[in-house]
Order: sequence, then C-alpha cells, then structure tokens
Amino acid sequence: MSNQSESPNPTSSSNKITLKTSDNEVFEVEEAVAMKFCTVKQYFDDENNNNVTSGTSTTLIPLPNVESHPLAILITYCKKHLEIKANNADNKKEMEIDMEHYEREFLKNVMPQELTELILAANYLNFKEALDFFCRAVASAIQNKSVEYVRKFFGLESDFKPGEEEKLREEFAWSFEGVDED
Amino acid sequence: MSDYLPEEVVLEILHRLPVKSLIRFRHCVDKPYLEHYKLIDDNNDSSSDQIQHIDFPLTSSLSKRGVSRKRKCRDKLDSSQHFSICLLTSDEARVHLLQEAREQQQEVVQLEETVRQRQEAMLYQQEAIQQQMERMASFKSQLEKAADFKSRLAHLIQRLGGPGWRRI
Repeated sequence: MSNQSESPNPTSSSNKITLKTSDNEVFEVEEAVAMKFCTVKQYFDDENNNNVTSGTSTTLIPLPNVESHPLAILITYCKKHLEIKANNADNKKEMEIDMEHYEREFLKNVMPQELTELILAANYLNFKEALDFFCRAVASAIQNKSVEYVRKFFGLESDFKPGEEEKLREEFAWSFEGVDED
Repeated sequence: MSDYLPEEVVLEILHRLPVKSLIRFRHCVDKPYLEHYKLIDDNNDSSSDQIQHIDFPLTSSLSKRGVSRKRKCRDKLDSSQHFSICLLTSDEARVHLLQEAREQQQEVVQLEETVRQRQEAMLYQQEAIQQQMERMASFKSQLEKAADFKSRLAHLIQRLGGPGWRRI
C-alpha cells in the first residue's frame, strides 16, 4: 500500500501515523492527533508490542468503519482541540471559553446528516471529547423538538397500541408545551 | 440501520437532555430504551424509593466529584464530564415544575399589585394637580374682577372731579 498523501510537514518533526479509511483514502496525521482516537491508540500499542525489535512506527492503520469525509472533519476538530488546549495550558477557564467558541463555529458548518456520520466515526474511533461534543450538539438540537421529529431522527417506530399514546399525552400534557416546529 | 446511531450513543444523547424533554420523548422512543436504562422510573409502588440516583453527564465544566464507579467502568465518555445527580421520577419532576410555576405566578401577582398601587398613586396626584389648576383659574378670574373694579373706580374718580378729589 502506498502513502498517497505523504508530504513532509515543515511545521512539525513529530512522528506521523498513517490511517486508511474504508474508501481507501490515506491520511497522515501527527501522533498527538492519532493518540486521541483510542481505537487507533490501542491498535498502535498492540502493534508496537508485537514489533518491539523492528521498531517500525510507520504502520498503516486500517479503519474499515470510517469514511474519509468524517475522518477529515474529525482530524480538523482534533487538531483545533489540541491547539486550544496547548494555548491555554495553564488556564482552564480560558480554554473552555475558546473551545465553546470554536464548537459554536464548527456547528454552523455541519449539516444534521453529517452529524450522524461524525458521531458514528467518533464512536468507532472512541474519540471521547468529540463524541461528547456531538452528543451535546444533538441533545440541544432535539430538546425542543416534537416526538415525531425525534422518532424520525433516531429511526424509531412507535410501538404503542392505539389509544395508549393519546392517554399518555394527556397525562403528561405539560411536557408537550413549548415544542418547536419541526 | 447504518444511518442510525448505535444504542450506546443514543443513550449518551438522552443523558444530555433536560428532564422535560426526556419525559416527552419517552413516549416516542421505544419503551425499552428509557425504562431499561432507568432514565425515568414510573413504578411508584415502592413509595420510599421514588428518587433514584443516576449519572447525568453535563458539560465538561463540571467537577470530577460524584463520579460513580459504575460509570467509570462503563468507559464511555470521559468520566470527568459526568456528575451524579438525582433525577426525579416523572411525578416528582412534575411536582417540581408545578412548584416553580406556582412561585412564578406568585411573583407575577405581586408585581401586578405594585403596578396597581402605583397607578392609584398617580391618579391621586393627577386629582391634586387638577384641583390646583381649578384654584389657579379662580384666582385668575378674581384678579380680572379686581382689574375691572380698578378701572371702574378710576372712571368714577375722574367723573367726580379728577385727581384733586383725593386731596379733600
């Protein structure tokens, strides 16, 4: 397998890790970024343990469940995350403000369908910060939505018997107040 | 199914919803979801056990305290982002919301009362101003009358013999 995107990065001399997505695209990322993806980290550690003698760290790590589009976005997010963290290493509050600001900007450029894709990728890669952020984003997006909207969003079928749901709706009518338009 | 999220991710999303939304969505999301994970417990048979502790992940700004061991073991999201909170059963939540609403209503009533008092005070002041205006108008008419008398007096004096009259 060839490293298509092998290009020397003048800004950093740190180790590179090569990731290969399900649609056969190759990403070369810095070790710090790749280590945020727990699945990659695990694979990398296992690999290193097996090849202690050879000492090769240029292994190509296959990601059969991740496509290139969400991975590219995740790598961007991860880089920014690390950057913000490094810039405000001694000030946690500043870091959180910066992060919040970035996340708000980030969500402006993400479609709802993309968000599902991103969550699946982040979940597979076990990238905790991103998964938490995406879950928060989805939660705030659906918290004022109607039952029908959420059902569609999660791909669920109503399993109530006829009349049963109406009864519950009547009983908990107060929780159906202030629902946004779909 | 590939378009839809795995169960554990759905659960993470549900964990981040406010109680009101949870109670609304429990009727849409498959029954097992919410009941299986004990996000909401409707079985109020055991009256002493209405409040249950669940781990409620909130934003990352929350402290590390109160992280339950069970949660850590589950190794889902960063454990620092979770914090233990009492989630009330639906009835308790409803009572809580009702109480809040009642308090707000009381506040509104109080505000209305102060508005009414101020309105009354303003009406009173308006009346006082009107009275003073009336008094001023009557003063004015008296002044006019006085001026009228003065001119008539001057006229009489002239007819009676001019300014020499005063000297008599």
